Amino acid sequence: MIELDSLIHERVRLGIVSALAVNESLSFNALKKLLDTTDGNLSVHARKLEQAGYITCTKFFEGRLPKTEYYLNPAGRNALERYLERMEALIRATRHR
Amino acid sequence: MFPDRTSRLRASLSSAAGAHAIADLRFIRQTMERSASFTAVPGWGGFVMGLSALVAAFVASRHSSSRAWLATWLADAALAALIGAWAINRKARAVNLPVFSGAGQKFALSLAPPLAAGALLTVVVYRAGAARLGGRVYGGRVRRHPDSFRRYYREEIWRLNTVRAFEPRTARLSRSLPGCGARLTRQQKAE
Repeated sequence: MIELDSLIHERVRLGIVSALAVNESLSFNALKKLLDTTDGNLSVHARKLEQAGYITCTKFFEGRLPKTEYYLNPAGRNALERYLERMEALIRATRHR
Repeated sequence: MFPDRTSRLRASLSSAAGAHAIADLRFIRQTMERSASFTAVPGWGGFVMGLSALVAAFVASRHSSSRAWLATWLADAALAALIGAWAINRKARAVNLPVFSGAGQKFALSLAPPLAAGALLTVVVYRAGAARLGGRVYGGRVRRHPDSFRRYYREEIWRLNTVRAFEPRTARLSRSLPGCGARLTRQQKAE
């Protein structure tokens, strides 16, 4: 069986990495709306990705409002590419049987 | 019977994995599309904007005064911005996302300043140009009330600033034009 990167196999984490792959950066709120998830859920998954070095998180204040912005790291982009390749291989394997 | 069962099991497992992979890929694609869907005015929006510019060009060419010409183009700029906003709004509704989600906000913020600067520069260049051309082309003198001297001075500063802003670009263009011409004639000679 082809092993999968369990870090981004999870839906929310896969969503975060995919969205950041086509946007230079996205705010916490933008990601939350996009993935239709809760504050707690998103922050837990984002922290997992951050710990793995897949994404970078910067926090700053806009006036009095705290803002969180996420960026994709090269490691995260590689992980997504590897993941896509494995998915492709899986589909090919199913078709060519 | 036994090997048959395992192979059947394996087949169903792998087709399930394949289906899962397809669903995953679709999810990735949708997420990318949804998150990036507001980075541009849809194609047909640009087409309608272009049509409005063609109409404006026709209308503007029929005006004799440069003031009316300017007014036509500025009105078209406002109209084009409206068409763009409407097109983006429709696109946003089609993928069921609020217009001012992350990417939409970024797009609006990055598009608005150049649009505003363009409109402002057009007015400034027009005013500076009118003051100068009025004197030169029609051979007359630009009439100046004593109290409008300050305004003239202010306009002149604006004009110098705009000239300075555009100069590097025009200089580059004028430098590259002879090169293009030389290349073209050389090609013709070669043929």
